[in-house]
Amino acid sequence: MKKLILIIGILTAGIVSANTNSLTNEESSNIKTEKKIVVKSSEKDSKIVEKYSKVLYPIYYTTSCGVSAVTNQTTWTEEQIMAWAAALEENYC
Amino acid sequence: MISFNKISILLIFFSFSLFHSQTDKKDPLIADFTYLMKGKIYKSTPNYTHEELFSLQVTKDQAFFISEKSLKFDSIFQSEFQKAIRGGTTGINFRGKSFPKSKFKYAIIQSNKNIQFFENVGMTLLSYTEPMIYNWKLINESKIINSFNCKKAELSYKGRNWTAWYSTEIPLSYGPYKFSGLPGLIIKISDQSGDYDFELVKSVSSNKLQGKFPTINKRRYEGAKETTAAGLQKAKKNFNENLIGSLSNSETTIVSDSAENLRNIQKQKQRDLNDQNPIELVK
Repeated sequence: MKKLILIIGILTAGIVSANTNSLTNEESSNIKTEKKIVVKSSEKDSKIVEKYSKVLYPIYYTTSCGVSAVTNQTTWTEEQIMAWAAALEENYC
Repeated sequence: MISFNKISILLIFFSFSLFHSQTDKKDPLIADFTYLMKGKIYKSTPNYTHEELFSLQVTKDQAFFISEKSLKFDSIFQSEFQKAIRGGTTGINFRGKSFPKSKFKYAIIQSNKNIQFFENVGMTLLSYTEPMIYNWKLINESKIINSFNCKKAELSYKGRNWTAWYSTEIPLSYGPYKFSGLPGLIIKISDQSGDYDFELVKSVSSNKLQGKFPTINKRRYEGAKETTAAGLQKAKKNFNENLIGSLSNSETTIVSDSAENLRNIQKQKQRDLNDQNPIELVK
């Protein structure tokens, strides 16, 4: 019985490890950058935003060929802002 | 006393869990190839041949085909963007910067089920799905290309007749663009009119791929709006006719002094679209 418990324990640890160890390169790099940039009205949230975000809304982006655009979005993550800017750069330049 | 059989069942159960706990993540690369595309891409300049490198990144169940310039764009843009954000500005100004830009902004996913085509039109990622190519005509001819023993196959596809050379030495049924479904990797494929040609120019050995994953950015294929090939073509035409208007759907406004600049870009895009000698003559 003890042996059985031991085997199950080892396998369970294996499963947990397997689930936490298979991040892709892309996913692991996104973790570092995926701090949510949100502008909220409450004081507590504003402090959180000050701590993590350096982008102020509205967001302006000027492409390499000089086209400037602004979005009304105010709840985007850094990843979403980047995708928006990249789409502007690729398609409006 | 618990019998040996019961322990075996438990072991099988846990092994199964262990296996499935790994498979819901992105699969690692098993092969990585580079093709050189040569194409007479403009009708007005039939003597000009555009050359561009494309990457074919193969995982267990599918292969991603994308321009290397698009891969470089994503990598450099991400790096520059993160620098700009950390700079603490209220806006991101990349005026005057230089980014690698492909003339082919699509990404294609080949699998043993179908072919998926993805392209950003304006601010929207569109995609369509096509069945696998089955109508290859296998020809009893062979030759060596880039040290691979190759066999010949022919295909009539969307208005062009293609000659492919594939190698069963690499038992992967993938190839450049949408060309897949042969019993080996396509090493070279040419349009018989001489307008388009893809040739394998680089392959990364599997021992150098251990622990590596496809480098294609998820924004190239995730969250796409499903359409048809004709629908995508129509959306591109509409976008090129109204660059500014197409932004309103994404809650984006062009700053007024950029409007003239954008009108000039729109004219150029329309000229390019009308002048295109597309790889698919029939949709």
